[in-house]
Amino acid sequence: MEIVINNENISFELNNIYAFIGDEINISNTKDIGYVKCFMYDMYKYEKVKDNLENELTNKKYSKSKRIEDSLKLVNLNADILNKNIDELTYIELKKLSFIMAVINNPRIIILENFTEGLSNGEKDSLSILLRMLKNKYSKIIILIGKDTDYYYRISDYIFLTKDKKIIKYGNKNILQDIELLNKNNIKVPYIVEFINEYKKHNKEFNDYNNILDLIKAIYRDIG
Amino acid sequence: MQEGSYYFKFNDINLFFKKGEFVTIVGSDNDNIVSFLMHDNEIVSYKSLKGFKTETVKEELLQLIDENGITRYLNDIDLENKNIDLLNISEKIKLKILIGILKKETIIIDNLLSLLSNSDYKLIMKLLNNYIQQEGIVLNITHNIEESIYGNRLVVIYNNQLLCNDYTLIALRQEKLLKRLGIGLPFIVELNKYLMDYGLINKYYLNPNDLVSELWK
Repeated sequence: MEIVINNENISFELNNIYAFIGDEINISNTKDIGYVKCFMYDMYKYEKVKDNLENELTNKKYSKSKRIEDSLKLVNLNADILNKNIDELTYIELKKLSFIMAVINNPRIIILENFTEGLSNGEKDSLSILLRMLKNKYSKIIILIGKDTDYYYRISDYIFLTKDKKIIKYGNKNILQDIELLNKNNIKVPYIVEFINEYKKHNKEFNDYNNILDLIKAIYRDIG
Repeated sequence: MQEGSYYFKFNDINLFFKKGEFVTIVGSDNDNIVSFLMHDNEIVSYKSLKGFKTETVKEELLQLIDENGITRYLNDIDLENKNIDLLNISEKIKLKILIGILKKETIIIDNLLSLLSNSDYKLIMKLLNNYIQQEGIVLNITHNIEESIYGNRLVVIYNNQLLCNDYTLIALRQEKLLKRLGIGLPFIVELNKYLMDYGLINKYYLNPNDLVSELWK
């Protein structure tokens, strides 16, 4: 599928998670896309949660009540929330609700802008499980936009680096191992990459890892 | 109330902090609201950075620039010629924190630091640490446990209960509690803990360079 990003036609493949890191990006065509923007409060037009969800659901294939019920289960929200007002919700409930609003019509592409802001490690782990399921079981294209390089390094299949509204580099997650490139473009180096880079000064053959457990086992095999 | 301490109220929880403390507050949801701040039984003003109006930022900052000469932190922001509305979110947050520091206020930051650019984040953390050495107080309310490394005290509030209030590294030893709550540990602390469990190190090294040097000693 092609999407126009910063006036460039870019092809995306199903069953993949992409991350855009750097400047804000501009997405032109929004057909078949579910989009959670950075300032999610703009997504809500009605006071009640239920009204927002019912009005967002435009895909007539689905029964409203069943679709809403299934969507709430997807993000572990209780049906009690439907009768609450938007301003009664906690920050995490709002995040989850915004996610449902984006996927309720079953778009092919799901875009999450700065979505991991304000999420704890546990919540990010839950998000990872959800995104991998959507990618693998439902063949979605997931596009993450933001600065959370630690998270994107763990979960993404492909990375785009952007600067001055242009794509300056594209490839698999190994791009985030290029410390010089990241520093040059004011992009945070993932903590695990930073550590492994230091470690490699003592053992150049040491492999790259994107999760801490594999890293620890490798260090123990190397030194222990 | 202890003399010389500052009193904060988070919903039903009373907390006391002293000058020179950089406190990270983590826990369930960022609905922990600071009700008021008292020092020596008088209510004092504080600045919450959760939301701000950009039109007041420029006026305050221009007034303070001449007095304190902070232009060295603003090299990439041309305040005279650039419309404040055109500043990106990182620049706005940076400006707001700078104003708080210049006015010598108690600074309360509510889930904003992760919106800073990489270079602005490093700069602001350095400035905030300098500020507390000059006896300022900083409260950083966040979901990002990585930010706790920069503070000297960690508070964990969950479902309106105070579960922990201690020096950062001591508080971070409560690994089971922090994992159970879904908060977790900063990467470098977790790495240290695993390496200690394997018997490869016997104390914490929070700088990756120092940690690697110790492993290869």
